[in-house]
Amino acid sequence: MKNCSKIIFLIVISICSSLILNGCYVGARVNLTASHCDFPVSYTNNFYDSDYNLVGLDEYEIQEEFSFKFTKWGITSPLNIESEEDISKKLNDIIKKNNGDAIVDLQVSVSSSLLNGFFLFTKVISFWGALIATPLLISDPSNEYAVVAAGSIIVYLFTPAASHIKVEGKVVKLVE
Amino acid sequence: MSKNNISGFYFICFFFLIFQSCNWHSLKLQPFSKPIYIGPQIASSGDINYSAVDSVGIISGLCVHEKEEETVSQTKNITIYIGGKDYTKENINSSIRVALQNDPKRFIANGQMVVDIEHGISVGAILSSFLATAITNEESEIGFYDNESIYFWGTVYRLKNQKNQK
Repeated sequence: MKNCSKIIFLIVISICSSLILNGCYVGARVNLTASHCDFPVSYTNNFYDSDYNLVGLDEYEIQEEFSFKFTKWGITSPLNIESEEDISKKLNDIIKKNNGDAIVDLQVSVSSSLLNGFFLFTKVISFWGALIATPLLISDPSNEYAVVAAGSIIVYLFTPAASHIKVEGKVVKLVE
Repeated sequence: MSKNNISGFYFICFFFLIFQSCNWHSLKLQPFSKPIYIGPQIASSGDINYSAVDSVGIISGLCVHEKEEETVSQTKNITIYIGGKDYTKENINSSIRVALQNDPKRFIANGQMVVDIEHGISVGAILSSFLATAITNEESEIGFYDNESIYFWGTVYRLKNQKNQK
């Protein structure tokens, strides 16, 4: 009977938690640019040469297919702190290393990090900390409640998340 | 804190960790007959051969990634929908097509991508979804969710001089 009431209590608590926590999330937003590329880097399979002639599939040969990954951090809930990554240098280095003229078929992929589950858990704990400590602080102002309430609110506002980003493409060289 | 409480704490923490999707979601533009550059088009030094005519932007809120594999998984009685929706994949390609307007002189440069990930709790947390799955269908989002989105912005340019355009 005791176990039964424990289970019912857990279910009621979890339903209430789920309603309150609906929409609770961690996130990261990354702005990916390449504003200092020394060579044409195209998402499609063609590009212009230096005389602005359109270069298609038959006019170049693939030197190398590349892929690189990196991780970026950001905060999106409830504050929105966007991070930026300029991949110009990496792309320039890849083209120069392969003696290419351009990059085509650029593809960007994104994946969530496994750590985000832990950060979401931290955010949920801080949410409950703020929810419990703040009314207690109002009714009984003390240093302990103030520290817990302030700490919980700060953690809730600034919980980060990580995103894995993968960039792939093909280095090509003009056919003479 | 008793041993049971600590074990319960670690169990809940573990629960948050395992229900995640770490699949890759890609944005691959369909093969347009024009370049779409991530950076600036390279012009001969001091020679401006093109002018900006327009900017193409994908309205935020659209998920423009494509799912690489089916990501609905079922574990016991919990159905967790992981991954975003790819129903707007066509939107980015049609927006680019509209921006290029079938004009042989147009292309897109200074493209940038914004990648956005979200991992959170939807209606019904994990424990309550044991009940929720009994009264909802498999498509509903219950429990944890992952959204990965990629947005694209760029500027449409037009060549001033016709140079062997196809």
